[in-house]
Amino acid sequence: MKIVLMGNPNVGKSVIFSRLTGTSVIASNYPGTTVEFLKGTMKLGKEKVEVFDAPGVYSLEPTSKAEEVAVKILEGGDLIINVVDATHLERNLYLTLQLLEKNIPIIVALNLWDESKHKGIEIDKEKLENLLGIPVVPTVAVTGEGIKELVSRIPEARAGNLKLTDDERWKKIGEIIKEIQKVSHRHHTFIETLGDASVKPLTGIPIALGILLLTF
Amino acid sequence: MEEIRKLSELYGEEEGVIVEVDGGFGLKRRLACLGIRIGKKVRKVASEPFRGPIVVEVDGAQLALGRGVAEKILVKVGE
Repeated sequence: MKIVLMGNPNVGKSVIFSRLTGTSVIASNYPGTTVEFLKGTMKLGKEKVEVFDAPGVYSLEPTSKAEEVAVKILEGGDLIINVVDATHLERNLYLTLQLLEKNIPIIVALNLWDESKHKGIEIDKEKLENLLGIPVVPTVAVTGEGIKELVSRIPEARAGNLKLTDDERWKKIGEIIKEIQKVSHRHHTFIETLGDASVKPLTGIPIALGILLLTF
Repeated sequence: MEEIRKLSELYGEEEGVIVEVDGGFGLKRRLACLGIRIGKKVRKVASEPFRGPIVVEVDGAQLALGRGVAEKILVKVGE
């Protein structure tokens, strides 16, 4: 059996891949780190299965070399783990809906779950499961939270039978988002304020000088 | 005062609503996947010097767009 990790760029596919297979791959916090695919193995029950880490894609109509690779890997997969960024659910669901047209069983890993809570985004995951008709598991890949549940629910993965045009897809996403997501206002954290300040010249240059001084 | 301007011509941290993406089918679809769709609110965050990319915020996500692409996106400002 071949399991393929699919998802938008920079959602944590590679970290989940490392968690599943135990191999360490280079994961960094900017999009496009994975350009070629990686292959590893993991144990699912007693069976040994192959896991493929695909580069991130926004849609299944490839616009770059990396996306072409991802689409090609997908063709040979028996099961998809769709890694979704919970903080940007709307644009991630577009790929999910496209994958649901592929007739390959899918399970969704709702990654960056902790981050979405920090941002004041509330997602009704049971409702999302019902609306999509496939299992949805919240995960925090960097700490390993939810990975066990993800693996245990792999047998529940289901293929979709959607056939939508582009516009219908966006409409459906809009409806889903309205049903399941609530965004509450939240004040900026100290780290964010510091982050913003460090990129503006007026405050950033003194901060940079301060850090340079501290290192020596 | 309402007016329609290119995304590349927004001042400072101006906000607006996307009214048109003047591009081919491929570009429209690619931008749609990134959250640039008609009716969406965008806010300009930064504009890099020497005709560099323009950074905008859509749905709480920041995107850097090439100047050429930003010129194809029409935005209604000043509501």
